[in-house]
Amino acid sequence: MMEPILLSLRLASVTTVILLMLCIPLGWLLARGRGAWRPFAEAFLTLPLVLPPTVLGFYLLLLLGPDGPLAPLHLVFSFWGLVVGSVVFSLPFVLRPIQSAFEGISDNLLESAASLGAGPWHRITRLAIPMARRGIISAAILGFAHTLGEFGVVLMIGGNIAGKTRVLSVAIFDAVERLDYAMAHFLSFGLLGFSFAILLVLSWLNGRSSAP
Amino acid sequence: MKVDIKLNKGGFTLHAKAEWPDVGMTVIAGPSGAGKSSLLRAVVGLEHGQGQMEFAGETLQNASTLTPAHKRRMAWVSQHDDVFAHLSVRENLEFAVRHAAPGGVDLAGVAEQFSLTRRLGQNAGALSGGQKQRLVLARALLSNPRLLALDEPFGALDIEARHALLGLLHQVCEVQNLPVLFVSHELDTLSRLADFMIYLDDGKVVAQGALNTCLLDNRLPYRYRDDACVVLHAKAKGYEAGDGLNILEFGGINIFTPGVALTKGQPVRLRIRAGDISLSRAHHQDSSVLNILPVTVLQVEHADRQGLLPPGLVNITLELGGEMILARITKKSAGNLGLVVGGEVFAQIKASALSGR
Repeated sequence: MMEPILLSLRLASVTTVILLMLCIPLGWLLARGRGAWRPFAEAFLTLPLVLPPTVLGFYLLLLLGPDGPLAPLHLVFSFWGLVVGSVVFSLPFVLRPIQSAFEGISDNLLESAASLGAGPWHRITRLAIPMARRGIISAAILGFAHTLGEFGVVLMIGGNIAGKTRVLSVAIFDAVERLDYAMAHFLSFGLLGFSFAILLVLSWLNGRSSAP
Repeated sequence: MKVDIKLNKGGFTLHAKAEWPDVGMTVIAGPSGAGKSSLLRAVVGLEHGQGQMEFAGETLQNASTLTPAHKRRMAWVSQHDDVFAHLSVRENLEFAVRHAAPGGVDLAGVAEQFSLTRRLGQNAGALSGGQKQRLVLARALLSNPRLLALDEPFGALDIEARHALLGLLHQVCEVQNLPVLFVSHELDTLSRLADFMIYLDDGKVVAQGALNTCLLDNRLPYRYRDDACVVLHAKAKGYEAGDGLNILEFGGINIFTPGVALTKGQPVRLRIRAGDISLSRAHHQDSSVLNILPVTVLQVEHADRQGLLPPGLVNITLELGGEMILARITKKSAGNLGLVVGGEVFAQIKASALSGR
């Protein structure tokens, strides 16, 4: 009974950490970039927000599947396959808040820091990231919660293997199919409560950041 | 510093060719939209145009090299209060110290000078406007720069706070022998600080030279303004405690100014407004004006090309102790006095001593 919950939490944690490592540099590039590539990159990275999870799952399956170019990695129907799928699926939810937090930092501040002798690396690590910390925390929470709740992508590339890829959302689907409503209630209500708590924290964080 | 730079920015072109001393205070002046801030930003490396730039014998930019802003050691203070709001006052200052070249000034001393000692633990974002300005200036000094670049310093402060901070800035930079390049369109600010002026209009350098030369330049607006003035460099010679009068000396001329006692031998800026000079044929002993000095008429200007001089008034350029000063009198008085170039008259002068050199 606890297995799918723990698996979901593990998947969400790993995905969130990977997404933060990806989205902090990506968000910086998108926020500060001036090139013609920017709108294309932005549109491409936002695609997971609008595409149905089945479309993403389908292409990921082609990519990772036995005939795909990444077949040697044996990712399909494995935990790390789920991680890849979740990273792609939740990317815009983490990228967006980080990008807008970086966009909110005035050029003047970073230019002042440069004139004080701070190179690009220190301007990012000592100023931009600490200044954007609320956006980064929001992004992490959103990414975590969104990964917990995903279903389509998981089912497409992970299947439903107990202990390996049967995450919370799949377990709920499973329980309903078995007409085990007690289990479905238990898991669903747990997820509902957890998600609400997370959004509450997020809203509290946002409220603090907009206070004077 | 030598600059020959071309910069395109959203339809506006700055093409500045200028050269100014690597010591003292240099102002970039001119009407708004002339490109003053862009030139300042180019100097510190925040704008990259094409051209050449040289500072203290070192090439900062030419066709093949470009020193980035963080390697120029030119601290830039923008018009906005750019404190790092997520850090405390102390952390703001430490940020500068950490990135400074070795041999910098000590944090506690600078904090004390800028009245920040009691605020060190406070969050920088919570400071008042004046405190933020002091903080960014202190932070800039702690980065141990080779040049201090200020964009419209203290423009948002009230006049008293601004004068206090300008005085402090002057004093600190003089002690550290730190050259300053600043943008200002205010005659009051630039007459208090500048030694040298670069005047921009529409992206081009119209005039450059010593402050007084520019204040008297007939291509520039200063000599035609209501508050036209000259700034002379004098030395404190003595103090008459009973009358509260300083005796200042330049070019063999003594000038009395009221105020607190200045240290003997101290260099002083002497500002003389054109409207504070009246002229007479004879040396009137019964005048309330203390400074009655013989001057020679160098020029009588009835009208100017720019049409800035109000009707009924004339500008008289005079020679006093080897320096040029400007008097603004009515056309009628000039006629009554029969002023001619080369003529000798007496000038009755009210002067004010400004802090610093």
